[in-house]
Amino acid sequence: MNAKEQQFTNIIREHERTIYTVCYMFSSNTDEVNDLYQDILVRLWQGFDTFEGKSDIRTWIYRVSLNYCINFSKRQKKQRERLDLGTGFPSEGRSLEKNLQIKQLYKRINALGLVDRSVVLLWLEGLSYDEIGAILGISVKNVSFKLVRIKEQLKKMSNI
Amino acid sequence: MEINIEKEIQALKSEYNVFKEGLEKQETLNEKFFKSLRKRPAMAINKEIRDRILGDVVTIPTIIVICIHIDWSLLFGILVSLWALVDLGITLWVSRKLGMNHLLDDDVRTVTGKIAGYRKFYAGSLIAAIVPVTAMFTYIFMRLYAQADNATAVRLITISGIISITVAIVITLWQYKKHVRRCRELLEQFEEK
Repeated sequence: MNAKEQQFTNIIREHERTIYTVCYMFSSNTDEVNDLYQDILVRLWQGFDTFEGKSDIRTWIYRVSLNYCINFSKRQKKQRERLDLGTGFPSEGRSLEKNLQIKQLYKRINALGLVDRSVVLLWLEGLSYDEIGAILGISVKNVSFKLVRIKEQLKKMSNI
Repeated sequence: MEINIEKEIQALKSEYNVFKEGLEKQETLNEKFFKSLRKRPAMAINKEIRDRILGDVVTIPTIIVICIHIDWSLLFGILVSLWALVDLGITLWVSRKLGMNHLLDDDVRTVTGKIAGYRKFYAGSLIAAIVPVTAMFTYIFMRLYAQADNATAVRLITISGIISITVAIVITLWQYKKHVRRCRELLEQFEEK
């Protein structure tokens, strides 16, 4: 492995979970998640040479991962709707009731539009509104507006 | 039963961290991975552009060889070659404009806009190409008719030709339009409503 490959490997090791979490938010099928992960790595590697460092490396990884998963999701729209989302998440060490609760909430999040789902994902990742805006290409005001609306939407869904 | 969504979301956030801890660590980056990179499929649009460029490049010598060896009009060969050259130029320009190597580096909204623009452009160019494509196939059919020795063969050529061209145009247009619609739907989701 040459120096460039080693540098790339180190970056990916550091952000591996980030990429996986994005993949899991767009698919519950383990094989599909692994395929998505591999494809994202390929895209990252292809862009690694020309990554100019204009944005933070984490922002760049989120952008590439989300863009890839959203495009994948658009192509597979019908299949996505049929999947029982949230089943890919580990359930060990949780009570049955809590597990069901979390599953239901993930199901509701996955019923949201692709952009709203991305906003929730990035918010759950603990990113600031500025970072979320930079990744998605929307204003900070729009991020906060969307989060309020998403919470209302989730509440409505839970009442059905 | 009323569910406290705030409480649930906070629970989700803490569970989310547990979930992330539970993700299996994958040792995917090794020599084998880097070696297999070349074999991995590219993004759909990337592949489409590459296939289109390849198609244009192959068309030019093929049509010239056909014209020389099968007694087809050289003017026809020149026109088809010119058309392939124009398409090649436009495809290279679009590829450059899209910035294929950095396409996914931009924010999600910009990328979606670019892809929608690309699909819309090719849907438009496909509609514009209907007349030259029809003229080209009419010529090819006329030449085939000249070689056909019975009425059944002529009918077979006509029916199969019309059906395959119509189906190809309709399917391609339908796919482009479907993709543009999905991109538009996505772009609408970015709006501040």
